[in-house]
Amino acid sequence: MSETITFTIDGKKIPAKKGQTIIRAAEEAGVYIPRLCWLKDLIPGGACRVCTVLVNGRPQAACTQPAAGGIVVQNETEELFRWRKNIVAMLFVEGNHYCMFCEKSGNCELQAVAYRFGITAPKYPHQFPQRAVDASHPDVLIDHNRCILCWRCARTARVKDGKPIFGVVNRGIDSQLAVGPEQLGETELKATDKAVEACPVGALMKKRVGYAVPVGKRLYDHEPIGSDIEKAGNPA
Amino acid sequence: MAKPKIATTSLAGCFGCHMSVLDIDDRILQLVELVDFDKSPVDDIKKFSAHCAVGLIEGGCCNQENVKVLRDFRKNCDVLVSVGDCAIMGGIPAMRNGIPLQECLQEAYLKGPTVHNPSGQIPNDPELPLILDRVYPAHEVVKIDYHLPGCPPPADAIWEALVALLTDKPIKLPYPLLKYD
Amino acid sequence: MNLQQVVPEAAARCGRDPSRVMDVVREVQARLGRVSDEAIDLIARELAVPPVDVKGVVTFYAFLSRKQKGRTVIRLSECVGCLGAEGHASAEELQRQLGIKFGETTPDGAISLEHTACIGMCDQGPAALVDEQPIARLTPERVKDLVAAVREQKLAEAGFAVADNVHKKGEVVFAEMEPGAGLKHALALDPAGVIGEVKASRLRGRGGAGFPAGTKWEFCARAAGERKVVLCNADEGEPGTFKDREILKHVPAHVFEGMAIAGYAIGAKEGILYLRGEYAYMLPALEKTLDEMREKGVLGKGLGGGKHDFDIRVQLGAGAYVCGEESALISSCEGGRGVPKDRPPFPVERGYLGLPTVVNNVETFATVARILEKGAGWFASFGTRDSTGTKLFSVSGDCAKPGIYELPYGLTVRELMALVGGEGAQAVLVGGPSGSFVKPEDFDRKIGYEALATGGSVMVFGPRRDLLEVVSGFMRFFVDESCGHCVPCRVGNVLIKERLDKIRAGHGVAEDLGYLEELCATVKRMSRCGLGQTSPNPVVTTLASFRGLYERRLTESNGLQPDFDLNAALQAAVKAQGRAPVFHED
Ligand SMILES: Cc1cc2nc3c(=O)[nH]c(=O)nc-3n(C[C@H](O)[C@H](O)[C@H](O)COP(=O)(O)O)c2cc1C
Ligand code: SF4
Ligand code: FES
Repeated sequence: MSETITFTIDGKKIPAKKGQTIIRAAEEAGVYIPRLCWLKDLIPGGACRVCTVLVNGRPQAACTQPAAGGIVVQNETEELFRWRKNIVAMLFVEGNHYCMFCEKSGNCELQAVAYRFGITAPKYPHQFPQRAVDASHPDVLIDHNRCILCWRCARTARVKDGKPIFGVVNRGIDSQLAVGPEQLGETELKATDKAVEACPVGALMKKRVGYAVPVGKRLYDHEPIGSDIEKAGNPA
Repeated sequence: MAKPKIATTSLAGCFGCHMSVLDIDDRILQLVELVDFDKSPVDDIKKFSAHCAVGLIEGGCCNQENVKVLRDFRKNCDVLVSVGDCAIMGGIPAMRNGIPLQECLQEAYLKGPTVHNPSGQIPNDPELPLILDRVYPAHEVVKIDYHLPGCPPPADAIWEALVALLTDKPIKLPYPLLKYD
Repeated sequence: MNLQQVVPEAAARCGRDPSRVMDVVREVQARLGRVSDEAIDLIARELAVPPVDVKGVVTFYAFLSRKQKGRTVIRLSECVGCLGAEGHASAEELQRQLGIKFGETTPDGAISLEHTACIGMCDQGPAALVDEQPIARLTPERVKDLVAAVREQKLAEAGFAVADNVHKKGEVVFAEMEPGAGLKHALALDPAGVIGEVKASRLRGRGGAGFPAGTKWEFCARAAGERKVVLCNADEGEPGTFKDREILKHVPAHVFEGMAIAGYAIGAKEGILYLRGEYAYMLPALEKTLDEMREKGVLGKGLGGGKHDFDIRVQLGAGAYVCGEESALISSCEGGRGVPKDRPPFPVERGYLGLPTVVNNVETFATVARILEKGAGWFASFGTRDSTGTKLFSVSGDCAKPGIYELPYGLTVRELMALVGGEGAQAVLVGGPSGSFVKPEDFDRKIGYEALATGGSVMVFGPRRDLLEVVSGFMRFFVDESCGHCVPCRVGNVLIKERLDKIRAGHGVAEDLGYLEELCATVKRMSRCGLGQTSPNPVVTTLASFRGLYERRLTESNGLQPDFDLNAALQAAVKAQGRAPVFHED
């Protein structure tokens, strides 16, 4: 049996197994910490920084930071709320997010987090980058306009599908998801691979299944993302 | 006391947001109780007749005329609201951003796969407003006070926002009304 | 020379070790002028790594390229530190002489011209790298000679040697030392005794962060594992820093000896010196020193009568400032993209190839050798309580005597300015762009961990400098150098620079200052590594100390956005449609 420790998040006592990350312990205790690049059962990416919490006053990514006995974690402070909102706004202006016709709209985690934060419009200037769509694969496509560089597909493909086909090229603001060899169609990716399900936005998508769920029935139409975690941990 | 005035316009938009305004159904009757419409396609008033409390902007700026109208709205309205994704981030028209204008015109009028244009001309009448190098969200051209996202924003969202503005309350959209699609 | 020959040769040289991708791509780049997609596939096959990972490496580093480069590449440093008025004139002249623009290659394929970030020649800028060779003190006149020499392939004989500029040698780093004396004393102690000595000296890391060296070693010594590694950080990329350059030139043996001592203390047999790509020209001399030390028995097997085995290899970088961040340094040493890693685990527990690793700066190791030679007490008698010892300051910018000064910690900015002939400065940047801009009213502050922390970079800005232009230049540096892994740093720095430039153009409004402050706070607090956590500092510290410079450029908005320029936005249409816009007044 692994050792159990306790710490607090916003004053609430949280039990955790030693070595467990803050985000997981929080989730099991019914506390939702916003996140984008984290995916259960995957090595954390530490990339989006939306999950940043204050650990004994210091900002740390909850998805990579292990819980430790007695630490004081703050998740809902006015500053964290603003900074997280700012990061989400950055993602919206960095890419080209045309929610109005995106197949993922309503089921998109980026959009859902923005809804949860009450963002009506990103406060930063849109960068309108020129980005490509890779439709070379018969069943799957990549729309780089929508990619938020969470590397969830890349990690999933490596760890779960055993296919190191996604990676990153360039650096800084020019960073881009890349596939090897050249195009998606030349890789051994299958539409049934776990990687395809890993995308939080509409960047890596199965073809011919868009708009399958009607408006009003989609994941985040009625309740904010994270509500399931909060409900499960706090039965009424 | 005179009723406050509202003005609306559709810049580089599709009138969908205006349709959504009309979609508030019978509340439109309450609305005309509360306000008078000034310059707006709704009543076809072409020029501001007085200073307005609220201006609703649909669409971003894709040409010189849009900029002129938007600046006119800023001058004549106390509060400007970007209504809909096109006003907020350019929307579908902004998909041309990042493609040089010359290429856009060629594709639209000469080379596009569905183009039938035997004259081989790109429309260039002096009456036509010149197109901007890219589509600009409304707040990049003038200061915008509020944003109502959606394509179009739900009628209820528009209603909530208008009522809040006219009664001097902060706009607070309930979760299901904040949508980007 | 073709691909089929070069790639297998390069791969064989590295024992087809998948963690040596960097060395292989470097060699291919050097011999073929590019790493083509075909080469990428071949390298991937030879080293058994996924092609997309090789592509990731090739596109990460500034000195590697998929497109064909000229046989010679001239890279002019565009760092605001050394690129004054002279620099702009030299840049013009380079383009004129070569008949190409930056980013282009001459039609005969002979010469490519590029910009690059700070190359560590800040005391003698404007400066450029011609392939690996640094060229300093450029003037339009010297550019003519330079281009002629490159064209005739006589650069080596053309007498472009760089200057030394070590103006003050102190008692620690630049003092004479009997080779091997430090290591000898260390080996006379047990490893814990060595760590005790370093802790007693209260030596703090010289690379900027100032972490106590002895404590770091202790953590690593305690970490579980048979195999451990000593990594020397010679990435020196912070603009305005060039002290490691002089250490590696004058006293490289002190550095290597310090590494051997660290190896003994933590139980490591292998050391790696990570040398930034910009300093590749030093490699032959460093290899020679290593050979000499092996001959003298200061390195190699059976040191101190069989008490210690230790050897060192040099790993070259390829142009990426972020690789100076210790976990990115490790990623790069492992042959990958120079992307920082999440902590924990810290390198002392799991670093290079997952092995417990101590990472220290060049100067830290050089200092360690002397501490073990002369004793902790002797060392701690220099400097202040919290900042013991002497420190190397890299002084550049608008002063009479730019160069290296080894001085005890604790002197004030004013005292330093008097020494270097920097009186009358409007601002002194202490600690490089990720440090702080100090205003004259604060020149009595002390340099050291108690007040102004620094890895040694001191940049002097005279009264005629446009500080906001300098700040913008540094922001461009951070935009270029962000690894791109995390959102706040990748996107936030771009947005900061954009808004700063809007203000500089006279289009800023009062709210923009608050906007900048909020944006900077977000990037600093939310970024993943030290780069993003400090990159907004040029803006943050000037907004705090030189706010007037911003306020004077602000304008009134009257509801219109001052940066929207209708006429400019119409020019594309004017050109495409051949008619001028009509501006009606109603
Ligand atoms: C973006 C960035 C760049 C850095 N560059 C260097 C560098 O070039 N040289 C260096 O010694 N330390 C650099 N550091 C600090 C290292 O991360 C690390 O703290 C240092 O190498 C530890 O050695 P020290 O304790 O001896 O200073 C950098 C840190 C950051 C965040
Ligand atoms: S702060 Fe983030 S993006 Fe910037 S260099 Fe560090 S890890 Fe990379
Ligand atoms: S979820 Fe933790 S950094 Fe993205």
